[in-house]
Amino acid sequence: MSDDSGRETTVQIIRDRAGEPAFATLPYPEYEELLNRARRVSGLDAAINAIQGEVNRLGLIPSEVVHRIVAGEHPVRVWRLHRGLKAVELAREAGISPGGLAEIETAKKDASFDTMVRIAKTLGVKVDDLMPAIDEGVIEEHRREVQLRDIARRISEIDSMINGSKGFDSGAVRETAQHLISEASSFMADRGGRFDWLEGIVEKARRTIEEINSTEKAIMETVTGTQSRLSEVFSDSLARAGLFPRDMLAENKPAAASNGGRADSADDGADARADPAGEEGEGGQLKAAGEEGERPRGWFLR
Amino acid sequence: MRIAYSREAMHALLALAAPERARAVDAVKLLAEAGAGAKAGANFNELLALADGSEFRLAPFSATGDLVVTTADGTLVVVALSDVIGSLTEATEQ
Repeated sequence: MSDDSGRETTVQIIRDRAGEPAFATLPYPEYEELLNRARRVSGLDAAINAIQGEVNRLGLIPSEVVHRIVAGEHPVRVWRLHRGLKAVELAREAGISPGGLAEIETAKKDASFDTMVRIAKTLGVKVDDLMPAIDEGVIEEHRREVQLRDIARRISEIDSMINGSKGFDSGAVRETAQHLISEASSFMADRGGRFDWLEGIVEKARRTIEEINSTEKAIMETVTGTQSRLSEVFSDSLARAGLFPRDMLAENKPAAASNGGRADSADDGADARADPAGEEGEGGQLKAAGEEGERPRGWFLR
Repeated sequence: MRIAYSREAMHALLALAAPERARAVDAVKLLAEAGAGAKAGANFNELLALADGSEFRLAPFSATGDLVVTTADGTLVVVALSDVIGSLTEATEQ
């Protein structure tokens, strides 16, 4: 089969009554191939149009500027010289001191965003045109600084939580210590060397977490055990009370609490088990809640 | 030939790693020198055209990178880097 121009094709043309081509049928693989080609051509056209648009906008930058920035000169200085401005002129226009501008141009100081906007406006460029060339060494150094700063901040946070005047929150200390371990381990893994001082910090953070876990476990066991023993004492008291009315029992409770938390009983063995003062003596931190005249409610850490 | 860069090309260049960046700039300079020594634009015909009839050419500067260049008024214009439109190389080869 051949088309109108005589080329071999598998396409069938269906014509209308006037003899004009109305439909074309073709094998499905050829149809797919046609679609693919159309997509490629369409993408190419779009890209070329975008490039043409870019050139037409004539936002072209001379190589004198680009090559100097690429070579490491600060864009603010390069653009200032390209515009023929003296440092004092740019500083005045941008509302900063000549010394401040010199520090920016020599990368000794990062300017604030507002300052960079004013400089960019004065130089007639966009703010992102003033971004210096990326240097891997500088990036690595910056990354290292940030990581070390994070680690130092975690250490300071933990120290403040443990030794500060605010209440002690064991969960927060544990979480911060976990962050510290993670960040310090990441720092060491990134650099692959030995960092004895950092390993020492990681070890201390691990011990802190272990100590918290161990103490919390002991506290929970103490609370659970004490609760159980108090329950026994209270039940004994009720048993001895016989059919005491409820309102009489309620009146007796504060008296028991003010008596060192002891249940009013002749049973010395039961008294010893119920005495929270014994727990206080062990840890030095656990206290029975309830000052004078206050009903005991539970346990807390001071 | 003089050299000029589009903003996008400059930013793409600055975002490259330092060795790649140096290779790209060297390639641009060589291209401009070759263009200045030959008949205007003649050397560009040897570079990969983006599409039939396109005035834009791809100039390789590394195993993975190409410059998209064109000429305008005796200036070599670096329009983009192929990081931006890398897939076009593949498309034009088909």
